[in-house]
Formats: sequence, C-alpha cells, structure tokens
Amino acid sequence: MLGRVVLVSLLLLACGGPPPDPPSAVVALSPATLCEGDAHHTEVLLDGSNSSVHLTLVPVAPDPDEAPLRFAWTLSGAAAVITAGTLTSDALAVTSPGDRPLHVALTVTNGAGGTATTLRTVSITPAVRERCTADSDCTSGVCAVEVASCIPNHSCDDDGDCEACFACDVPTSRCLPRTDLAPRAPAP
Amino acid sequence: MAIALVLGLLPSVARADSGAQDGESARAAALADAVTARAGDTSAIGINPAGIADLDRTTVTLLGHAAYMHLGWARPGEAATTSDRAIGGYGISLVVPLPGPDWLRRVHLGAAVHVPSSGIITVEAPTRDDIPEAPLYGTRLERTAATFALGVSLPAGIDVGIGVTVAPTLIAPTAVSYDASRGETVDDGVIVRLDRDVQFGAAMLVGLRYAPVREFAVGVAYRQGVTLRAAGPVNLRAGSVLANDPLDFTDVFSPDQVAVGLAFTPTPELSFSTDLTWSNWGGYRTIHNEVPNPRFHDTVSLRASVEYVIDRWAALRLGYAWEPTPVAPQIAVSSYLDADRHVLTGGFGIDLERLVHAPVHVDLYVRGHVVDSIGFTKDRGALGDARPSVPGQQIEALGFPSVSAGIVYVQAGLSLTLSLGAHTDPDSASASDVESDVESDVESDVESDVESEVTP
Repeated sequence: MLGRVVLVSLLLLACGGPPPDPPSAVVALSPATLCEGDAHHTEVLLDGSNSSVHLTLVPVAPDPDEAPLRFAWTLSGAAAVITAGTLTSDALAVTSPGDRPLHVALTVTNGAGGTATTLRTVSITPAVRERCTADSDCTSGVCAVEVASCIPNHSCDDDGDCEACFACDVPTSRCLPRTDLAPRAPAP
Repeated sequence: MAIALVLGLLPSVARADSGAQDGESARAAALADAVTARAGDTSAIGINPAGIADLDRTTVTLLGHAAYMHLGWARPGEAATTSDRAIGGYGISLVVPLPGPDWLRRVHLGAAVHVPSSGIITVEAPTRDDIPEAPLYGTRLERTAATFALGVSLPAGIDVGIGVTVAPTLIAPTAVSYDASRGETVDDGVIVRLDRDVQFGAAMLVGLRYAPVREFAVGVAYRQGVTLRAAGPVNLRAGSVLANDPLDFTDVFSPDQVAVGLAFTPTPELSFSTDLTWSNWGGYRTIHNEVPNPRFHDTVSLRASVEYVIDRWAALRLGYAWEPTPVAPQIAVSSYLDADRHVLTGGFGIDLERLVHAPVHVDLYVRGHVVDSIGFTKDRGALGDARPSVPGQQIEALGFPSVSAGIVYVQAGLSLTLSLGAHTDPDSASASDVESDVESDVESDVESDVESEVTP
C-alpha cells in the first residue's frame, strides 16, 4: 500500500512538471518621492523596461526570437492619474495627490508563462517645517501665523524660488508647505 | 510510522499556529485545549506530560485537521486586499505504559509527531517588513515537530511528567561566484553553491497533575517556547565585487507558556475544566530576528470546557477560549494584523469499544476564531525615515495612513484513537477522568470482552 501511494505521488509530480522559468521584474521610479501635498504637480515615470525574460542578475537585451514580456501594473495606496502609457505598457507616467505613498506593483509574464512581481513605493516627503506662534519661535525665516509654521523669509514668484516641498503662494508671494496650499488641478 | 509517512505525502495545504498542537487530539481541540488538568488522551504529551501517566493502556492517536483562513485588509477609501488559505496537518501520538511490576507500570512513555502538509520546513521571508500580515496565522509558524514525554504516576493521586519537543531548522551556507570564462552570457558565468544542513532545536516540557479525589484535579505545566533560525553565510564574488551577506531568519517562534488548569467531575457523565495560560509573547522576534516596533506584550488567556457522556459510548464537548492579542497598536512601520480573539470549539466522540467491542475512539471537532475588528492609524513620528539616504523624512509604509482588517478562521479535524492491550493502571484511584470513571462504573463487562480478545 505504501509503495503504491509513493508511486502515485511520483507520477503526479512527473505529470505536473517543473514550473516555468520566471522572468525578472525591474521597476525604476523617477522621481522616487513626492512632496506631501504635491497635488498632481509632479509627473512620476514608472519604467519597467529593464525587466528581463529570464531571471538574471543584470539587465539583458531582449532576444528577438523569444515572445515579448507582458506587463501588468497595479497602483494602490493613493489616487493616481495616468498621464502617459497604460497599465499594460512597459512604462507609464502618473501623477498623484501626494497625500499618501503610491505603491506600484509590476507583474511581468514571459512567453513560457513564468511570472515575477516587484513592489516599489513612491514615498511622500513632508515639508520640513517648524511649528510656531510668533517669529521668535523660528530658528530661520518668519512665522506664518495662519498656518502656524515657519516659512522662508523671502518672496517668491513661482515654486522654483522655494525650498524642497514648499510651493509659492502667488497671491502672497510667500513659500508655504505644499500641504498648506489649496489643492491644485492635476497637470494636463 | 508507515501511516504517518503516507499521510505526509498527501496533497499540500499549510498549517497555522492555531492549527493542531503537537500531539493534540480531536478531543482536546473540542475542549478548547483546556486540558492541563484533564487527562484521558494522548494530547497530554504536548500540553501537560504528567497527564500521560493517566493512560493505563497503550494508546495511539491519529489526527488529521484542515482549516480555512480568510484575511482582508484595506486602507481608507480602497478596496480590500484579500487572501484565502487552506491549512492542514497530520499527527500521530503514542503513549505506552511500561510492562512489569506495579512500580514500573506507573511509568509511561509518550511520543508525538506533527507534520504540516505543506512541507517539512518552510522558510518564507517577506520582501518588505511593512507588508500587512497576520503573525499568529502565517506560514512562518508551520513546522514539523516531534515531542517525547515521560510521565510517572506517584501515590496519592500525583502525576509528574517531563518532555522535550524537537523541531528541525535549516542551515544553508550559500556561495555565489562569477567566472566569465564559463559561457557566452553573463548569466552563464554565475556559480551558485548551496550546502544545506538540517539542525534541530529543542524545547522542554514539565508538568504536574494532582487528583486527590476522583471529582477534582489540578494541573500545572511549563512549555518552553520554540525559536528556530534558518541561517548560513552567503559569499558573493563577482570580479572585484566581494560581498558577505549572511542569511539569518528566525523562521519559527512560539512563546514560553505556563498553564494552570482545574478539572471538576461532579458526576461520571459530566465534567468541566478550565485553564489559565501565560504566554511570553514579549520575546517575539521578527523573521529578521529583531524585536518588533512596537514590541509585543505577554498575554494571559482563559480556556474553559465541558464534556457530557451519553450512555457511556458518546461524548459531547464544548469549549471556549479568550485569547488577548499580543500585538501592540501598529503605529510604526510594521502592520501586524491581530486582535483579541474568541475561540469557540465543539465536537463529539464515539467509543466503538462500547458499541462493537473494537478498541477505537472516533472523535471529531470544529473550531472557529472570532477575531475582534482590527484597526490602527500610523504615527508619523514613529514611522521614522524609510530612506535615510534621501533628504527629508520619507514615508512609504504600506499601512499608511491607517488600516482596517478582518480575519476569519475555521477548522475541523478527526482523530482515531486505538487503545491496545489490557488496562494496566496499578493505581485505579488516580484514574479520575470522565472516561475512566464511566468505565469503572460499568463493572468492566466490556473490558473483559476486550481482554479476552487480546489475551492469548
């Protein structure tokens, strides 16, 4: 009886065969972080083109004789607007409100049916700001009482005049943390 | 052993920590494992080894169990991420009273083996530390284990026992090197050498059971936790690149436990038991052998059960356990999903020895976990900086900003218990469990039949 069970098990294993060779799923993010409150201002490129048909230590050029990889992107954790590419292309561009991290999963499938999944995250970066009630509370800059935080002591015309994760509040020409600004419309 | 091997070859499902314990029987599972003071079957091997001294015949128990687990979690405004698992395992337990004079027949030996049906050893390392997971149900807690016990029945209704649980772990030195002359492509030049060794970890069991009168028993057991590490050096050589990044996974963790139990048998048909168990979850280590942040805390759980014997051949069983979660509010990077749970159990047993003179007990059980709702909100201050090399605090935790989750777990199992040979208990006064009481009330009509069948 035992021998019969072992034999059946071996036959089942033999019929199943080994799993197909897996591919490699490689995701490059550019940029890899958004300022908190980015409000769809920054376009993030999600690039899976360095994925390989076979499991490999280094990216290799695709073999023209082999079936191309199929790509399936999943975006979670935060709202996202696709501005270029699709969820099945090798690369796409997205924008996000920047209120939460955006988790990006890429599953690639090769011609043999092997799959591989890689999970990356576009993190959010809160603006570095000091809480204050008066200018004397700030080690640099001045206190913007209405948002209770220290802001740079200079005027601005656009976001480029401001420090990282600060944005220009044009009506007042002041650099404020992005999260303190009214939400902006997604970039076209 | 042949039976155990065959069972191990059946199709794969996994086992959770809340599946069968080593040596657990369907009877004990139906009684919510509130059996530290309630002897009467082979589950005593892993729960309170003193209890095996109460078995006066050679007893073999075969157990199979299967379970279904559903886990769902979600961040605010998102659809739930769900996972469903089938969980199962098999076990065989044996208790043998030593033959010989009365003093030697007070000594009992026990052995139990439990095999998760998913594999002998499972090491599942997550790619990220912040993936929401249920630490008390994961595959990390699957293990193959064998428990060996010694129980001695002393005068005045005192039983003592000791045991040891042995479980394998994996040591896997790995060497990766590169030789450009080996082939035409880069991959052809990669050389991987694996050298796997199996080592064993051991944990101790100590138990005491005191039954001064037939109606009452008290039990105390210490169960040392099992912590196993899969480890080994990994040497990577590729041209000028030389890296030594050893593997070190704490792939199995179970806490130290101290259990105190009471058993009360007001009539031969009706019995109650309760257990209070302290578990050292504060010693929990992550799979990367780190103290979780925030740290788990110790728990005290309560178990209670009732057994009612009908017409001496059937038994109905109900059990309940309240198990507070050891998991602290998940305000930092990790997202361990757990909450206080209510364990509801039920089952019945049939004594075929009473019905058809076959020395076999058939026991069935079902067990369900009602887990309180799970929810937590991350604390930005506790999240730290996910990528210190990038300016500013990087927040990327998968559980940010908050998570709600739910767990469904149901299990069923069947055990067959074979009692072989004649009763050998030299001290009948110590046989205080319900089944023994009932047997003594029957004035051994059936026992005589069995003895006549097995005695030449």
